[in-house]
Amino acid sequence: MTTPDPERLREALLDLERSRLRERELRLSSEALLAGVHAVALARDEESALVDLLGVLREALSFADAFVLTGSDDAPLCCSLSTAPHLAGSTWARDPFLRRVLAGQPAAVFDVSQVPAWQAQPSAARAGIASALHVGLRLGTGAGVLVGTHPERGFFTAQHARLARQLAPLFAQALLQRDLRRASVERDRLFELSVDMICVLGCDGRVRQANPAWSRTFGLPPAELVGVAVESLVHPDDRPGFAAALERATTLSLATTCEVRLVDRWEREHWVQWSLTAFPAESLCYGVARDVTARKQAEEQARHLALHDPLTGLPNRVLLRDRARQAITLAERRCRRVGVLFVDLDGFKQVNDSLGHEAGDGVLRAVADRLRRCCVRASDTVSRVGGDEFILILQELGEPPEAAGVAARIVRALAAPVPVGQTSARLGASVGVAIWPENGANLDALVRAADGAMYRAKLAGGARFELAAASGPGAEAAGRHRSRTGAGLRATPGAARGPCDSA
Amino acid sequence: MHAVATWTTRTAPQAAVDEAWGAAVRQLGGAPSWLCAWATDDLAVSAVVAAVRERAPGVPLHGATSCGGVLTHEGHRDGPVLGLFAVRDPDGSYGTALEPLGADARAAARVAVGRALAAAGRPGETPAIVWLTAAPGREEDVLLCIEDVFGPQVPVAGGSAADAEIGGQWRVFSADGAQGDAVCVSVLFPSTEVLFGFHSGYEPTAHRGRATAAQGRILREIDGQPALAVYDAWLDGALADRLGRAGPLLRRSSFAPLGRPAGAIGAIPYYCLSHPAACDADGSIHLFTAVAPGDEIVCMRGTEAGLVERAGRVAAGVLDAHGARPADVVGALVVYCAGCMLAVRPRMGDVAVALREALGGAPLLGGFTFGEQGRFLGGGNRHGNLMISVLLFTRLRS
Repeated sequence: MTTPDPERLREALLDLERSRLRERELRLSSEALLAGVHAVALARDEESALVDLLGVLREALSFADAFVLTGSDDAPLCCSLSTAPHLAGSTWARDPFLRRVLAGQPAAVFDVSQVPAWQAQPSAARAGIASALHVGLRLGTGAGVLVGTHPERGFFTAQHARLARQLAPLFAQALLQRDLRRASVERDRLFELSVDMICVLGCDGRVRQANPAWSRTFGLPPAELVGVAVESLVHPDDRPGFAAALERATTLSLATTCEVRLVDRWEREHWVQWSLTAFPAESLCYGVARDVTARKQAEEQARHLALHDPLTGLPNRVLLRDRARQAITLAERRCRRVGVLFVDLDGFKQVNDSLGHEAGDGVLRAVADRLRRCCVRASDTVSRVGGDEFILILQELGEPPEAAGVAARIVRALAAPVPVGQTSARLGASVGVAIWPENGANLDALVRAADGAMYRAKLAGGARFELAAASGPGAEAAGRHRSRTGAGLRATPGAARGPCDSA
Repeated sequence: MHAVATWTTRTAPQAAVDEAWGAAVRQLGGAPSWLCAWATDDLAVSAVVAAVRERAPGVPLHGATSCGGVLTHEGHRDGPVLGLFAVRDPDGSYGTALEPLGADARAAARVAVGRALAAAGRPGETPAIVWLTAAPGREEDVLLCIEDVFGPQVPVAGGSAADAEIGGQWRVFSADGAQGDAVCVSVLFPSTEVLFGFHSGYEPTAHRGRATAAQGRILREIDGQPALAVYDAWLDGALADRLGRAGPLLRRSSFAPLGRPAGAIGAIPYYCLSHPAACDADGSIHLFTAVAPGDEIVCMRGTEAGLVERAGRVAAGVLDAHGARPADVVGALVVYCAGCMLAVRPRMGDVAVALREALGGAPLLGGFTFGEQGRFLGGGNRHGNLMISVLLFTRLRS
């Protein structure tokens, strides 16, 4: 047996001590990591996890205070979390020093007063900070810096920096979880407070989640909506369109919009604009339904105003032209006739002059009402085209005398006194009658013909109707039409004109 | 990080730098981030510095003269010789500054530290390690100042400038020039881990006493007796011919230096060594370290085998302690006591072999110094003699 070399023994002892110190460093690092994991795992929520983890870091790194700088892209960093009130909310330019830390190189600073990034923070001196430790944090797509501070100069070493770098991912994770939680709360609030109706649909089209807006505007508590097939809420007439939009969203993975009516629990209709976005891989579709009833009503009102006379509510020239086109098309298909009656009131100017415009407007409204209710069928069109001029479209007429009959009824109906306030006005009507196809091939020709006939009735003293004379290309067309239908224009002068019996 | 070590025995400064610098740049594939140099004092050091500066403008250069030669991974080279150790580390930061020591060594060191940090672009930041070279004489003051700046936990490693004959021909140099009485400080912020070790290969004997009279680096009395007389008694009269006469002691004390306890591992102390350099007729002993009244003085004992093998063992121990492998080492700087080197000079080739085996053949440059600085396990940076300081640049990410 050889005697151990004392020098070797001593060196071995030093090696052992060196290993022991290294192992101690590793053990402390492992213990700190474990304590950190415990703090995160056992904390009651994300906020307290962060606070507990900061406590673990404080013990491991022995800093007096700590704060976190965060920022996105190239924007200055902002102190978003701090145990040192002086630095809370401070902003830090991304100088080379901080860029290096953000790039993953921890930095121990023995004297913050020498570092430009710190020189720009006069509050650091007030906070009594002499030395600091900086370690970069990877925060999802962003980045941050955890800074530990100490009032003693030269407190932090490379060993602190190594340990900080090992603990940084855990802290970054806790920070991310807190931020995610905050973001989740913010999103939940947005979901709760949104005036739009938001829902999550399963692949079967049934509601999985719905926000309170459904309750506010639709009368159904969100809980009651869960499991309901959303299509069942759609107006039956609009279901095909909605189903097609849903299909587009799910099969093409495209954000799709459509406007349909929803029917609430009181059977009221709500126009909504749906925005549907599907995630087929998750068998989910997100739907946002915005109540556009008011817009729809406004649009309808605007459309009505564009097509109707605001005084009487009767169709105006634009709508008249459309109805005439439809009536002629229908008559052509069914071998029928269309009557165009030009009505001009007799004595209206005197009413206006003697009783005033307001009374005149009242008379026009009463005349419109009388024409609509007493003289024509629901399928016919009564329109106001000028001051006291009205044009009527009578569709699907058989023989011209039918139009004459309507004209006679009009003459009679308007011969009756019209109440104006406490008194009444006596009026009359001169009516010109034109028939498609005998008196013209289109509305303009027919109106000209009816206008001419009306003029003759007016010249004849009014309170009567006149039939337009058949002539021109329209008459030729009418001839062809007659030969196809076997019908003839058999208006007699007696039936074609003359004062009508008063009502 | 990459590192290379190159050397040349050309004596003409331009040719020497062309060869050593050219090889370094070729092997690194570009200019280094930091350049450490050791040259023997028989080279025209100022001209060497000028030649390096001309070829490597802006590259921080940290250099000193070495006693008699340099150590490389290829072996021991006697002077005249110039050795370069070049580190290429674009993600790291390195700064070097040279400052004349003047009357106030601490003030000079403080200025040098500040300038080095500024040169590294890291003012206010704590480096991973401080690499230090000073002219022999006031290393303790320099170390105290560096600790005062960074705190005691920042490791400082390095060695004092030396010459071949202890004739004051040593030089400390940087890109700014070469000076005899100066300090050169480099602050290292490498992108990967650096490991270091500081060690002596000596064991204590039973001979010990207490310094009762001392001044600076002169130990006058041990236990109230002339220091040389006590020391001679501890060595069984081996220095009897020196009693009452002034003369050198350096070569005769290499295996029996004096030690002072620097700390303890459990109950077992470890020592910071002081190499007796010379004696005075009054029995005072001149050391390469300061000693203070009240210090415990222990007679240490070393062997040739110990001095030959310990460099490799220190390097291997540093790796073992950090769980690192030789393949993790990209380069090494070694500070080897000149006194030890002189004691085992014929076997310096074996020292190089031991280091090469321990470090897997990694590029290595070593200098022979008149004092070594490093950090003991128990903490605190110390200046000692007959020590070895090893700095390993690794590819390990912390």
